[in-house]
Amino acid sequence: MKPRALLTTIPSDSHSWNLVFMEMFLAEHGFEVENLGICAPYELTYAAVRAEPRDLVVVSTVNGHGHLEGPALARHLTETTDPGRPRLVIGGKLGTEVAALERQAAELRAAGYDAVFYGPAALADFVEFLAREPAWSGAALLA
Amino acid sequence: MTTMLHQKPHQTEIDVIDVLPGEQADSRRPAAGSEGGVRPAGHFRDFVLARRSENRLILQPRMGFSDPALMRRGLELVRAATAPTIGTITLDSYTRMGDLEGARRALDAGKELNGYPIVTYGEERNRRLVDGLLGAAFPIQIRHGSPLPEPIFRALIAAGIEATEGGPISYCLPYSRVPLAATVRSWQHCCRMLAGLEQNGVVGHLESFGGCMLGQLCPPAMLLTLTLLEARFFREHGIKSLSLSYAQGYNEPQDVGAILALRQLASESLQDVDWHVVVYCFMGNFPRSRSGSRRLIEDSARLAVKAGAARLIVKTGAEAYQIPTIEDNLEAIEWSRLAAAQPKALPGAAEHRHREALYAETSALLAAILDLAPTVGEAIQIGFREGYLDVPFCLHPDNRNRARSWLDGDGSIYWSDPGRIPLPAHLRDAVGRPRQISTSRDLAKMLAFNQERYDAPAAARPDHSWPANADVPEV
Repeated sequence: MKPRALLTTIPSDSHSWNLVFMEMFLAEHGFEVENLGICAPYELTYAAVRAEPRDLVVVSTVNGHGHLEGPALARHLTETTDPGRPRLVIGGKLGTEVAALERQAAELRAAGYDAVFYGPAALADFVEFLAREPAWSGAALLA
Repeated sequence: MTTMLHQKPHQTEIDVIDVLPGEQADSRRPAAGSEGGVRPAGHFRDFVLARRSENRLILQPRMGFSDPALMRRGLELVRAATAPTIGTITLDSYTRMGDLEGARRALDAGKELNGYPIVTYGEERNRRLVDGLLGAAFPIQIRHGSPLPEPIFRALIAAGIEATEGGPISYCLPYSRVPLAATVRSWQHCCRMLAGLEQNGVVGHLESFGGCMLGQLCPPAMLLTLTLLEARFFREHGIKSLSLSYAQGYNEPQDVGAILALRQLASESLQDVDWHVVVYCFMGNFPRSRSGSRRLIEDSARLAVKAGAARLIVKTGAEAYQIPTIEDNLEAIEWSRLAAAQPKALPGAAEHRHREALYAETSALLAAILDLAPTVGEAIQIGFREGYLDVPFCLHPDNRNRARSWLDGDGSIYWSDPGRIPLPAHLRDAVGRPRQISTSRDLAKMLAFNQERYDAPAAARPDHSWPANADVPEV
């Protein structure tokens, strides 16, 4: 069976192309993907995580508010899901100040994200993350 | 593209230098807002008609600041530009999303917003902002992006401003999750509010944003169909001065052909209202180099002139990095003016082939949609529900998202799969190019097409190697 990914974003982010791209990208990496679309309210994401078992939740955001709205989402999900919960990652343009990105990434990790992807190497880092995760079978990732 | 149309172009070659009916002042058209012989005034409409008769392209920035003094200074400097200009007040994203509480909180905390919060500031402050600036010599338009804009329309009307933009499709599908049925109801109400200004002797102007859907990769015939549908929706609800839009794509002959077809279709179906075409400088991933940005901006101005558009919304050299400053905007306006003033090239055979194909495709699609219901508002909703209207890649729940587009090596956009869009059989070969399912890598390349192309010759270009920029779309 394919590993299952939920693709979502933060409530204030109305960008589409990152989600369109990431949906295709995850599918190419072997995932069955549900894409919640732009401006996803927190409740929509929480309900989708509760609704069925997932292996991975990807929060993709490029409007610069990821560091503001991302932590609440992670805290809620880590508090309300089992230890065997899906892996939770966030990536994109997470803030507007380049100098603050490292600190913001640390805050996001502290809030519950298993990995945070930003900057020019974001996608390459994400590929590496996918490759080393034992939560899903390597076979699917070769698809 | 080989033309495979079985039907002849509907009209003889239009002379692009000529202004078409509807694009010019015509005192014989009583429907354009006059009652009892007195012609109501509209700063925006009258300014466009006047520049049109002088054959001068109007330039307009996209500019918005939350600091009223800075906003005022921006408007003053745009007005003082050498080119004929219209002022823009772009609103902030709290106001756009209807989060007036959020706008209030941010302002109270002394935070800078990404635009002018017209609703929160209120009538007196708004009137002070435009006092002595707004007039027949300098119209001002509110640009906002709101799917449910009643408070914005009330605020702009109270401020004495009579021009704005958007539409029930173009401000619903790409940037919101609001159901299409709700935006149709809201925009109906807003059109009536704006049209009601006529009682005070004022003609409101409304621009459709339908020529921009998602900023890139939408086949031109769908853009034309959507902006024409919005225009007809505006007219259905009393608007008598309107504009239709088209966003610069990746291939000049296709863009010129699309704008010519749009003007032709508008002149045929909007005979009882005042209208013009506005071109948007490319709305997708912008070049990162200054020289690349400038060339793309110059090309948009040349495109507008060549295709006979009346107005151009400019972008700036800072587009890829930050919210443009006043200076960035003034510089881009000047670049555009200089490019527009160059000797005018006439559309050639390639442009006219695109025009014929897009005219045939759009008129067939438009007729099929309008046939669905007695009102445009209902027809739009049925059209999307059935997938006859379908914006490729748009994730809104009311968009079927079955149709797919493809960007060819020369930058022209085709249907790779029209889904349920009812393209007439005899046109399918001309407007479609079947492809295998495109991959994320294909998509990233298509999104970065103009960025890569315009940045390419620059000697010192910043690192933007694929695929880092694939994840940073701008629309």
